[in-house]
Amino acid sequence: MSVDLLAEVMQALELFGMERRPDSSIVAISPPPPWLTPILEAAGDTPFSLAQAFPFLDDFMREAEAMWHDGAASRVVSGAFTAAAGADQLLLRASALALGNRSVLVLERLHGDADARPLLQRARENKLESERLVRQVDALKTTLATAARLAEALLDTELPPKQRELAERISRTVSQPSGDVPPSTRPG
Amino acid sequence: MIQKKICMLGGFAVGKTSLVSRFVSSIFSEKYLTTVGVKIDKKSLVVGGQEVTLLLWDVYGQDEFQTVQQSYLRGSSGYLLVVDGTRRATLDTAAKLHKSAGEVVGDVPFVIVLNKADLEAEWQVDERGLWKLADQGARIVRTSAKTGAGVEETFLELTRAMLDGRGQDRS
Repeated sequence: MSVDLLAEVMQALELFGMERRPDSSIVAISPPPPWLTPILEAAGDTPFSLAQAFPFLDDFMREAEAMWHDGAASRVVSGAFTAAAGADQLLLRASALALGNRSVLVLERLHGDADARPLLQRARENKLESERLVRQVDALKTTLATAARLAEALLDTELPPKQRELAERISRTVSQPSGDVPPSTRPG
Repeated sequence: MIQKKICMLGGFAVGKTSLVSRFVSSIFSEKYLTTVGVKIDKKSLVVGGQEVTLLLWDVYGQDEFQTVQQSYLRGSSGYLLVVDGTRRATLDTAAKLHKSAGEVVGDVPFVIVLNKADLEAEWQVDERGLWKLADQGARIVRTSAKTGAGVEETFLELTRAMLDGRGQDRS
């Protein structure tokens, strides 16, 4: 595969490849993908610092250096991390690769199906709503239990027949097992 | 300059991101936006005459969908265990995360943050469970990322403890 084609493949996949040289400097081995442009522009005239742009990598590089040094594995993959790029929050992942005696670092933008944010957002919103409903039901149960106790206390007193009948109806209604709708209130 | 890594740990939607936003940018948004992976913010402050840069690792909330990766915790000098006062189960999650963090970073300072103090009337947290967790060497602080109450003090408290080299046994 030609170098140009490889560069195009990296661009198409929105990957950014770098090589860690023996003197510990890091050089790009592929053109910067479009998502990196706002980050490079934000750096302005100051020399681009990987750790400054992506503080997460400062930590990950320790793991990568250990892998490159020990040679125990050929790849270490980071967890996902977010980085601000202009107004966007990019979701990224880093991979450190040991390719023969060369040490390579690849930054990958997670998007489309690989970006779990929309899915997790919906799942967690649903979970919060479900938790809220459970709390409401619990509060309702407490209220009903109190009403049942009060109705029982009322029935223990002297009551005219009409009021007794009403108190008995209240007692029966609020004592329905949870989840049951009293027959008189069922639709149809 | 001293640099310290702090991890924000807790269940989902307890307010970790909001606490960081309030502390770093004095911003609060009512909209819940879930965190995936980790987002790192920096804040410099002077504590006891020492300039410190805090690297705030806002780690996604743990739930049945995602378990916090231990690699995120490595190198942490301290952590905030965030609990949503209105959601009882978030205390159990915090207790589990405290155990995980201990396995990775050992005896480092941590603070239990009882967040959403502006909703105190709706609080459901089990006080006994809270004190049981605090007995392991942490202070409990009440915060509201919404109003800003207690937020700055919480980060300062943890920073002081980190600078003093206080761990669970020495706090």
